[in-house]
Amino acid sequence: MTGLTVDLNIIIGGPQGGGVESAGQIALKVFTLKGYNIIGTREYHSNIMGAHSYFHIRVSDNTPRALRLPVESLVAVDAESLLTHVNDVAKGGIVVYDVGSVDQNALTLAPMEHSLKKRIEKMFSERGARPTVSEAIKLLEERGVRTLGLPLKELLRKTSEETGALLASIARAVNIMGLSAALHVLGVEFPYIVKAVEAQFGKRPKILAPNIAAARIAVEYAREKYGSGNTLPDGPHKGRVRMIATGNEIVAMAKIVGGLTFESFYPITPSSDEAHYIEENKYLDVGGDFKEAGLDKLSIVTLQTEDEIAAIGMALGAALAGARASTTTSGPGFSLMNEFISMAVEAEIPIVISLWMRAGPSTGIATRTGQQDLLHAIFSGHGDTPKIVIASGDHVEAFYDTIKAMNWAEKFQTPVIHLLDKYLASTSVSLDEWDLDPSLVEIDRGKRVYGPVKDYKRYEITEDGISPMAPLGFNTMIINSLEHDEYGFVSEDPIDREAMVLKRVRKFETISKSIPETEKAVLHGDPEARVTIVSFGSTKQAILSAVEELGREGVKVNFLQIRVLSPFPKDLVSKVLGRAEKVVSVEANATGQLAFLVRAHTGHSVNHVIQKLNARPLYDVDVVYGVKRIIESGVERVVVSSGS
Amino acid sequence: MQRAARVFESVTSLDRGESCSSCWNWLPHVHFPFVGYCTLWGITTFEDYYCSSYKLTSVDRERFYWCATCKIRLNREEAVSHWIMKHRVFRGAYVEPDIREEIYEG
Ligand SMILES: [Zn+2]
Ligand SMILES: [Zn+2]
Repeated sequence: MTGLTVDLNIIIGGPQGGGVESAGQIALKVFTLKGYNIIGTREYHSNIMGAHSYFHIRVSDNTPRALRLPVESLVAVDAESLLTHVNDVAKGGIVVYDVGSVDQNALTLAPMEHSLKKRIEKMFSERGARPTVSEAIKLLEERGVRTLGLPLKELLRKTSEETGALLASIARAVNIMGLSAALHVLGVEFPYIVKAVEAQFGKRPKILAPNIAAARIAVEYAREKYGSGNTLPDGPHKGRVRMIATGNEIVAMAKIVGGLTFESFYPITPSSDEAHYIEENKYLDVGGDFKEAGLDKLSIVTLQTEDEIAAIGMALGAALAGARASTTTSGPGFSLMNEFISMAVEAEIPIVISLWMRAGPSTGIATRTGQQDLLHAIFSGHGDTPKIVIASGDHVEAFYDTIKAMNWAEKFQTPVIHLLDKYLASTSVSLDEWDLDPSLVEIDRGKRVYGPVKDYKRYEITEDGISPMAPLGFNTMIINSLEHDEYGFVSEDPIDREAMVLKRVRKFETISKSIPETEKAVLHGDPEARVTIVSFGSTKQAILSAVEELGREGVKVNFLQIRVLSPFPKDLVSKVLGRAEKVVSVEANATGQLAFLVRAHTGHSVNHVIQKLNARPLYDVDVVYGVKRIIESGVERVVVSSGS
Repeated sequence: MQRAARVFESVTSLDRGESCSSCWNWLPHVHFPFVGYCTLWGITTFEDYYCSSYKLTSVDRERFYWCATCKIRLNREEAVSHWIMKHRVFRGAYVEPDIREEIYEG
């Protein structure tokens, strides 16, 4: 906290499945109720229950752009959390830990990864110490961090005795205890904790009472042992009804309000929660004509298929029948969809594919983030398959981009691949209702014809390359993934073939002309800056935050965010890069995929790259560090590595 | 719950080693092994609780075991070797029914 501005970062760590998720959600609710803006993300292991997981939250009276390290508070209910994040806590920060864990040694912690054990051992041996919790506490105190030890087992026993509950899930209350003690020290009043716990467990009174008791007992202990500090002032949004939503949820909301009627999917991290949200909220109250026809509600068909091939296949079928259709997946599932992407291009079928990128290749690190599927998306399918590829920079963009993607798919009768990622998927933000306003993007279904048409040609040759699309059922029509004539009849005639290829080329030119360059790419910051960062996707907010920070230090940098990757905004990108002395691409892949695209389309070499390869979110400190290194040393590639 | 109050008492003051933490009937919580589930009485207890039906745990009866020290499942041969190393070996671990809401797909 500096001056009147509140800017708090908190990490809550514990074993995966051990209550960290609930505690994280409660923390988000506490600060939203207090009137602050929040952003919070969860990091967890892909295949080991009990492995370390954590929730990182940033609380601010401004809109927090991205997560920040180091944090002001660490809640570590187990030894692994404390030892894992020992270097993530800022001077003057607060660490809450379990006094029962002080003798634990990193080397004997069961789920901790071997390499991390070795790093921690090395760090402590350089201090002549063993890698134990008590040594970590000593180290933190030397660094000016306040430590608050809670006897979690005893507090839990007290909770159990007071509430008479020997509850199955009472052990997980240790997270709530740790969090509540930290919140007390940060100056959050107890009633906010109660409200947030009620909001979290409200529907299950048997869990609610012991959790509230656990919170109270932890706060009482902290007050007795460490006193009470100043009360945290209320934030600017106090008293207003606001929402907390993840990227998965926001994309699902956009699909619902954007007129989606069909989504098929095969479950895969980090995309599934999007489909589940649609499933849970798919019944829409309707009025007007529908009401007169005796219908109260309309619904979206959501279908879990046997694999990703079936998922996209069914969505294409639904689109042909007139549905507004999409599917959702991540890299491995997208690989399976490739053949059907070619079919969608050849047969001109609208489809939105939400591609939630995660760290690959292959199963890689399934639950962590990355930006490695850009070129895969651009070049997906075989046999000349131009398509639209867009990338959203943040939650709000993801909302509007989702509706636009559905419009563009239908208007241009083409696949649209919407690049998102695990960071957006599992990061929560606080929003107001008006931040997500569906009326700002009109639903546009393109050249549609309903009812019988005389001499209907599904693939009519037109100047803009777009033919009138009729849903199945009204006309005799042939949809064909074999090369065809205007009616859709199979044709290998050389004139027909050439005409159809050129029609599809013209269509892509139409797409390129129809989407304004300013919608395809956005230059943030001073146009005269010497250094230009170029990037795409969820790196946006961390980069903007870094640009502000660098500006305060007198380093002038601007940021060219590419939002439509195909068709590529070559004129605008050429113009901006032509003015820059140094061009730096920031991407979470090792092959410089965006740098490659920029060069391919504009001829401008991107001479410097900042790469985030550890499958953790990009932090502003990464970008600040990378840009400074590049300016100082002229080095081509900087790999930035923050995050636990 | 009533029965729990009758049959269990904390043994910290009684200084007895025969607590749930070494009882055959007791499954430690998968994440927080200082609490666990008594399969005999069907309730959750702390590791230092005690009851008259205490039975010392062993590693020669079941095909599979749980090591609370290593947090892994073991077969009988492995269980013996962990037991010899003085690890905390049990018949199984207790996974609460609503743990699903805390776990994500991989
Ligand atoms: Zn017993
Ligand atoms: Zn063991």
